[in-house]
Amino acid sequence: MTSVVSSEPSESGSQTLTISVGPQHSGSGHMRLIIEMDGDIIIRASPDPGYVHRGTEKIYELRNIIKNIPVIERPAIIDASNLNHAYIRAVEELQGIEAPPRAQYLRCLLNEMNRITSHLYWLSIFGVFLGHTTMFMWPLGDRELIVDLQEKLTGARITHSYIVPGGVRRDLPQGMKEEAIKRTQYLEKRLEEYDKIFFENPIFTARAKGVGKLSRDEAVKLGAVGPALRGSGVDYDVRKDEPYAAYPELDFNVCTRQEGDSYARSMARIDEIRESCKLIRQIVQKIPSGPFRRKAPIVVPRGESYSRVESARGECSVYLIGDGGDKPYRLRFITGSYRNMAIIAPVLIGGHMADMPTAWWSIDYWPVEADR
Amino acid sequence: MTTPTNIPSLEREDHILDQLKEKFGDAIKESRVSRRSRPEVTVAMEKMLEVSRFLRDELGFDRANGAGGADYLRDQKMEVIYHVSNLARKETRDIILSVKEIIPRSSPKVNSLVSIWPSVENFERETYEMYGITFDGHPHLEKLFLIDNWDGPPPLRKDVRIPTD
Amino acid sequence: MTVKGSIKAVADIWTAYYSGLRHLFHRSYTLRFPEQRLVVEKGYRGRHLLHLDRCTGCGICAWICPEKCITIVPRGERWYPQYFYGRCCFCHFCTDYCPEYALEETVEFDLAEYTRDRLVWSPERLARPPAGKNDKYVFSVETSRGASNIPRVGAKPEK
Repeated sequence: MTSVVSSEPSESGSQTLTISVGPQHSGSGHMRLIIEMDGDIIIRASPDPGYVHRGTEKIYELRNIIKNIPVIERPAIIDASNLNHAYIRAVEELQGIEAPPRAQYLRCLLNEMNRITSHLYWLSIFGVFLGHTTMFMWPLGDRELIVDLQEKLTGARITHSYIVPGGVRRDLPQGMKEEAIKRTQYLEKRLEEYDKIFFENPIFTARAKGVGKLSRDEAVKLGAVGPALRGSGVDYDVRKDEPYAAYPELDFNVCTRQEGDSYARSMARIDEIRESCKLIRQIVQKIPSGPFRRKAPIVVPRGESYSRVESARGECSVYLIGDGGDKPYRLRFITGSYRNMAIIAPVLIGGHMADMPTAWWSIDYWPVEADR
Repeated sequence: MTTPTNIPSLEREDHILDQLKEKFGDAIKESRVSRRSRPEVTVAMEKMLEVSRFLRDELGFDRANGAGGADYLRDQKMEVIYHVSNLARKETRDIILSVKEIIPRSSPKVNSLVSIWPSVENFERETYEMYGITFDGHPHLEKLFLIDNWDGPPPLRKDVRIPTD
Repeated sequence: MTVKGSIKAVADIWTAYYSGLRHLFHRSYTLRFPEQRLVVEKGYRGRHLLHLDRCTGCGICAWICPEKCITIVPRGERWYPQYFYGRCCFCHFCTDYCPEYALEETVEFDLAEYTRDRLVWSPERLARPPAGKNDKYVFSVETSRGASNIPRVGAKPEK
């Protein structure tokens, strides 16, 4: 996994070592980090993405807007419906239509379930990176509860393709409301057990507190988004700053922590899982009745539109230029991980090599989502 | 007669565009507000650095959301589009201003805005490798996603066809 | 580290062990597939079922398919779709957009074959009803005891 690339003398006279970490990692996707070390301290780090680049921005110009939906979802497939939502909001803005209220609530329901499953998957890979096998098994097992709920709603476990222009594809099935309430209550109880074995475990706190510090000014200057930014004390969340879908009528808090180290970023995500559980219970109780899909043409009218949603890793935005046909003329797609690529280097520099897994994975950088 | 209440007022967006037009006059080629919270402005290529500095210091747009390019083969021009917003004031966090500049397709060279908004560094690198637009003043202008020994044309241009079955 | 801090650290590590070891005596939710199968509810997006009497051969399914896996083939005077499941992503846009409601979703998901040409399903093979399987376990959550797989009410005992 690591290989020595070169070794040169540093300014102080001793030699520095440049190693290449990757592209195969013990948990995340393929991405290379070129790290230059003086002894055991990292003095320079630069990410080398592009191993999973598939040219999706060119592919979007060749397919009509319905055929694009599976391709839009695939960069971050465990968080598929948030990306889908961003794209469909851009299309609907250009077409000038609005989905009915029941569809907006159903879209928010699937978005929150995807947020929970994405954060639990992140947590289990954190266990892999740190060698805590129980923390690898338990979140994946508990994630099954929510993935099963997603299957009841859409028919597919993670490749949903549920949100289409004009609404959603299916209605809420019978019995889903009680199941959702039961399962989210069970999940909140399980989060307390995770606290005991992992988050209050002195081995983890010794490895994560004070590691990978990112100050508030630096995070804002480099354009970080998502829980990586909220762990440094900035309360920026698209669901509160530019509310969309059913979020203006729902009641939730933006979870921030002040310290800015790996522990703060991790706890910001766990707080978000709790908020999402509360949101799911609110949505299934408050959902209005009515139609769930409106007719919409397969056409992209002339014009431009920009839309953004809060995905699990940060702000995901779609800029769409249409020329009147059925295919987009230009679709610029910037995901949360792509924005967070800028903070990988400041988080790693100054720390030990052994702190690298904790610091890097606490940003939740997903290489496939950044490369698209 | 009562005015309909569901038409949003576009005062904030109009005010931003008015201030820009007042300060820079001719350098602003086009400006309009397409929908709520989405003003757009097209700036002459040479004045882009000055306009960006004004946006950041006077009007408070301290965050760049993204940057990208577009290729208009029929009109023989390319565009570089920056989306900027503000983070410090909570009430205006929803406004996203699109700042565009039009460059001729035969000699695509513009000034880089990394000195004003450091977060556009990676986006400008990607626009360089995908469209062939050179950014003067960028600290590391090299390939980001494409493979290191790619010697073909910039892939996202409209005259580059990729085989589809 | 202070004495009080060290005692707290040891106590926390023992809490972690105890919390994990308690789960040795809980029910697990692992199933021995394929002898024990989980019930897949209707509406799951598995393979397609073609109603030969309703299909008119219009080709809308082939046009909307994102992966281009549907070919329209002639059978006498009529035309029917033929599916290639090697590329299908089971999005079921074809089922949604069919104007005659000739396609339906089934719960059959185990479609693995030994050779690639067996992954091409002719219209006649698509028209066969889904094979019945011995699935009887239901995933259930009880907030007090935990989540596990329990047999469905009325299921026959396994051999």
